[in-house]
Amino acid sequence: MTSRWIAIFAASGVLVLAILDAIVVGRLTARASFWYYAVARTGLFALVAISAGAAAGKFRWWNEYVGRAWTLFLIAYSLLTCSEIARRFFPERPTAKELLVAVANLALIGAYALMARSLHAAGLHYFGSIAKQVLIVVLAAALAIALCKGSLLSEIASIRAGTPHIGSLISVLADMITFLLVAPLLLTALSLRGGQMFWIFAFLTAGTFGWIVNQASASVLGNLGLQEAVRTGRMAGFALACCFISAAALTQWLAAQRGTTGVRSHA
Amino acid sequence: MPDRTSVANSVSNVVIQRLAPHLGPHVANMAMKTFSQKALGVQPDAAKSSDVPKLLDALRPMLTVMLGREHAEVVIGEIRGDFGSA
Repeated sequence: MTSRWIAIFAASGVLVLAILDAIVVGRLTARASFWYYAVARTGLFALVAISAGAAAGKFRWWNEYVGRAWTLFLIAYSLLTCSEIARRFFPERPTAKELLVAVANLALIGAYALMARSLHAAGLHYFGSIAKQVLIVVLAAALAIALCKGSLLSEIASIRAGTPHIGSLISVLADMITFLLVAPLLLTALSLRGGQMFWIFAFLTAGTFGWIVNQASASVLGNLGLQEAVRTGRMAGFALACCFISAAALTQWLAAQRGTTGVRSHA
Repeated sequence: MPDRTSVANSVSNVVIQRLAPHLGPHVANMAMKTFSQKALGVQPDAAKSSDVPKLLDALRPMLTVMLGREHAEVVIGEIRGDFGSA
């Protein structure tokens, strides 16, 4: 399987889930809708966890740089899988869910940070003009602030009122950092274009963009009063994130597998 | 792959050709430039066959970060093979 085929499979998965959400899910009964989202969201989180676990195992877990990043992805998405189950089936225990999400977010920040600084850790730097690099960083920062400003202000207000929600605060900060890290991920992908590693960083960038779509759907479409579109937009963003982060992990695993067994990829 | 008696810049070309399928041509060129200057103190085109072991030692940590230890050793082995016993 080539990286292009992995991209096609991931994009098809996103498209199918978005179409299903737009056309079918709105017509389901509350109970059927509950089960659809429970299965789809838990399944997608678990898919990322399994893919990340395969990649982490290939790089000897915590013993190698790439392995550490994928181990953190594995921890994050395993906890998010558990939090999804807790949220759906144990709603009377919100603290458990909040704690799982908070720890998952911390692991995700670590995973993205490791991936985003791969080139620097290798003693290299981004390819291209400084102006282009600054522009991408500024755009990512503007996007992160625009999308997270409302939630961040709300969390600050909670702290001032003496009722802080630590889990929510960590989630908002993790979102902001993740959205900021899309810039170095994109710059790394652009630097690596033409090579097998390009696909891994391109898929990770696409996955992070999925989380941006997920967040933007709530804030932008919600403000426009398009509630039906919010649900579909969030699901499309969620599917984009999970399918493409899984694709990145699978590509990483395949590249290492082929590299060490002498089979060439035809990306 | 290269003839050991070919022009000096073939070391640079061979290393770049071996790295490019993994890292892309831009980063492959950048890596050759960075590590030939760091490890050998010369421009990439000035690297000689006798410099290959030292250059590979310098490239190893970079490749380990980018590709993983096992894959990095395969790539290093391929480059070493291109230069015979180098």
